[in-house]
Amino acid sequence: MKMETGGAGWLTAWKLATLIAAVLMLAGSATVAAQVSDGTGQSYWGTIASPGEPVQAAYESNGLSAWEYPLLAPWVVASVPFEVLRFGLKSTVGFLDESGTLYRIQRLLGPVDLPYGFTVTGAAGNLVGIGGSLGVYHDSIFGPSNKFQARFSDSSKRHTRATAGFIRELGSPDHRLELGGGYRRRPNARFYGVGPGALESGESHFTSEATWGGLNYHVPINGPVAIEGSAVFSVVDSRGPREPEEDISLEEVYEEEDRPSGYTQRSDGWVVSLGLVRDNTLTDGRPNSGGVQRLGASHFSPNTGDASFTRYRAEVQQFLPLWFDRVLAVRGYWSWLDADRTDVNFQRLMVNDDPDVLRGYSDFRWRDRGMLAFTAEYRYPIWAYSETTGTGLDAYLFFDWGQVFGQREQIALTNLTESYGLGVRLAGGRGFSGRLEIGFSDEDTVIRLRGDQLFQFGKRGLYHGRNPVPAR
Amino acid sequence: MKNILLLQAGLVLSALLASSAVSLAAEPLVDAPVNWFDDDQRHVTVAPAEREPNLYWDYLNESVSRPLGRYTRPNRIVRRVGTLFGGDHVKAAANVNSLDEAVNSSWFTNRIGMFPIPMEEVRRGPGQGVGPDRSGTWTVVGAKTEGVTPGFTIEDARGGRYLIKFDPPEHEGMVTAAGVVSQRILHLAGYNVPDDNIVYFDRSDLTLGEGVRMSEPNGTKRNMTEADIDHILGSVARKGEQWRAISSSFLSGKPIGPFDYKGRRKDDPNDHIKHEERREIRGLEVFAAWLNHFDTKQHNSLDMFVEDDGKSYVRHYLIDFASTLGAGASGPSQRFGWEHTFDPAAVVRRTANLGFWDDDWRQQQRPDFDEVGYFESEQFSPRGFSPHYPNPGFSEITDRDGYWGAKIVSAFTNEQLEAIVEQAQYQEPEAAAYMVRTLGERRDKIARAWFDQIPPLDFFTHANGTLLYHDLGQERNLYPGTTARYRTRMSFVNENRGALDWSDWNESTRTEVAVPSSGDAAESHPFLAVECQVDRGSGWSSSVTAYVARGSGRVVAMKRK
Repeated sequence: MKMETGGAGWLTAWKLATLIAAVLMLAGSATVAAQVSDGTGQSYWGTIASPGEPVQAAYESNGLSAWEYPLLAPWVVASVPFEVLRFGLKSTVGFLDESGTLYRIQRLLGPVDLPYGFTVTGAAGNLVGIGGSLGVYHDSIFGPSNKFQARFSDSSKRHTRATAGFIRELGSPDHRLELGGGYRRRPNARFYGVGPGALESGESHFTSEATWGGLNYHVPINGPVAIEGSAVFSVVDSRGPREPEEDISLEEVYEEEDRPSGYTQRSDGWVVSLGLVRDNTLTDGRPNSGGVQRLGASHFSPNTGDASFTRYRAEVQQFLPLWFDRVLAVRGYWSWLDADRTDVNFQRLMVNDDPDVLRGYSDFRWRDRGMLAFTAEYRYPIWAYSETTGTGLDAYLFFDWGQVFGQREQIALTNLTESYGLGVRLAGGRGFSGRLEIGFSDEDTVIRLRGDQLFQFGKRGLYHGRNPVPAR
Repeated sequence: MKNILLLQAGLVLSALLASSAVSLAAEPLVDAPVNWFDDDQRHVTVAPAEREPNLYWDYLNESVSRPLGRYTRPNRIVRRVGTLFGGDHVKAAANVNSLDEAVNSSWFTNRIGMFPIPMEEVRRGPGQGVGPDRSGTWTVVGAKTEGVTPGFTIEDARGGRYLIKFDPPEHEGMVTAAGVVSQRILHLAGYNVPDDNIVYFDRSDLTLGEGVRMSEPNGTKRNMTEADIDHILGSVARKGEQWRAISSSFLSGKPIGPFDYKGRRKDDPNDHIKHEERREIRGLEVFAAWLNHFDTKQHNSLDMFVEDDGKSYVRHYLIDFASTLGAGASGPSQRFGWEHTFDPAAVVRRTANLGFWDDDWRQQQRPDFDEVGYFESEQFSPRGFSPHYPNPGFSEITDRDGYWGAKIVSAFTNEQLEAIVEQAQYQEPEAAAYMVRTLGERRDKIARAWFDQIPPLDFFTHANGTLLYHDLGQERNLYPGTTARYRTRMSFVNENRGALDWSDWNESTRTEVAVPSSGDAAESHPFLAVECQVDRGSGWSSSVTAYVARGSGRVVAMKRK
């Protein structure tokens, strides 16, 4: 019994001891759980004791070596203006941020989740000088299926353009009605003569004005194939250049009998067009596959006594994916203006101006009733914000080959001009887009900064205000 | 003729300056215990002022202004020339002890690189490893409207405050998991970080506190409503009726804003080393490369004025690891970590190569797991890492700083990485396994990249007439299939490391060498220099030299490179 009692007592004591030990262990483990390595203990170098003398020292920054002072002194003095500039910039950025200005600009320039905002683009060239444009857009004005855009641009050489466009989607983005209009003035447009034989020495200047307004109806008929019809009223006019002392006048270079038809005469009338379009590009701005093919005819009926004409145009654009994410963009187009009379207003002739540029030549260098050209761009990305298909910069090498012609027999390889060059395109974000390029030909070297896409120029032309295409 | 003479004089001067820049004036040897602590936690009576650097200016400053300064400073140019003669482009880190180790400080605590760490701490991180208390509801006391992903601040039943952050809508698990893995790793590496953990909760776990104010993105303030909570929860990833989030504990003390990676906080008397001269700041680049921690801007750091053991001082933290492991706050991106947001050198390079060569980063394949971004080891280039925008601390990294970082990185074992990744609670087991494997492969690449510059012969100790050292390359299995040979030579040296007479090289396959205990020159040359090299089949490496005090037998200094 004693033994049992004793045994029970021993057992109780053992249980108690176990319990206490368990509690202590738990407490111990809790203590361990709260501990974090503190940089002391048995290290791979040996024991590191707790801080205290002599294992603690006040470390200081490295100073300059003696040889550095004389080297650095002039630099410090020379950098004072930059330091002042830096301080000013810092204060400005801080102010703009704290006042909410940067936030608002960021929201508007996009890409943003707002349906509206504004766009800014730049332009530069020996014809336009330096300029820029400011646009506003709203992607759901008066309802989710409507888009509105207006833009105003001006430049140091007073190239002025004001445009507005509206798109009403009729069930799908491809079934739409576009309304648009605008005004464009170029006080130093060029005239070199008419035909592929026009000489560079025939350069002269005039003021070109165009005003237009109309509508375009785009209806898909089968997959990417659509019919496009438009009716646009346009007015073109011309007069002497704004600065004749700087830009030699057309009247000075050409005798009256040699001046082009319609010079200083207003021409207005309706252009009605019908076309077939096949567009299987997936994106605007930076397509890397697919293409656009257009075939169409338009008729101009003048109100002002000048010649009426019918214009035919065929155009093929194709975006061919290459290695990595490089793209070869090719484009070929042919235009012909058929008129019974020879006095077609010279501003309604084909000319190498956007979008039908020959980039090694000045704009307006060539002008006639027909135009045939091929262009190719090899594009490769050189910077992207995050993804290669997003906002970013592309570099490109281009080759343009083409010429205007007035008669069928003038279409000959020997008449085609060549130009080539390279450029950089900003693509992606809605706020900024543009291209900076340099083009070379055997006659000229031309640098351009433009805010438009060259290849997809015809897409939603009225909405984007891309005159003078509708005027022809 | 005059110009040619001037040019020649300039070249001679440059060479002289360059060679003087190369010749490093080593500290005299002292037979005393090695310093392991920076005395930077002295009591400060007045808290330093709060810093609020402007984010936009920080981007401009680090992307344009500071790099211009770095590239045009004449002394820096001379040092660059000096690199051709074996020098470094900057002075050595200022807060390293004679063993070339970063010392413990208010910035950094030696952990996994120096000590065996219990697995419990590996899992737990700097706190308890559990997140907010779940015994009651969480009271929402603030909203986080800045940053790409919204979140809010909660107070748990015990009064603990936490920032609750979410995954972007299309990428459930990606950002939260990455945040926890990186936080655990940086803690073990030695940096101060908050206690971050994965939490799951449903809407009924949240109640709105009274009079909670919130800021709109444009800066205007107003009272927060229940609808705001719903709005935030509606804009982030969710799993059924639950939300997965990362809870980040509020740090103790008073926040005084981020630290700048360059310069000092002048109103903090303890901050006596320029930050870009700190070993742990320079070496952070190695960890950032490992974790693809590309968003290392100063705004992702935080200084806290803390009270500890009766003293008040500033402790320096790294915070917010959402943009790591291939994740980005708005989703994964191929480019992040490979080049700066705007990187003129990369743009020029790509323009010049006409698109015929592609960048390595474009060839990265994203693993087939929703929870993992662009994080892989095949294309990974250990020394090609670039943060979102230039970090002035990273631009100062030398081979010795990089070696230090790589030594710590390579100390993480696969088992430890597994335990860390477990804490991230990946929902796909294969994703977790992928992450462990990839972290391990990147770790090994990093280690080899830096160990190729400085041989990983380290942790020299002296006992019983034998100098023992470790070949971290062999011990950490970084060079499988190779056999290492070692060679050493010795000389007695004076305090200024002047050698008396070097012995012949002695080859061995063991990482130990018997050292003479006494000699005739003990008084004039009281230290023994032991120079070691390793050959793994491709020739002898550069040297690592240990200095042993002949009196006490202590290893008192190291020289690498």
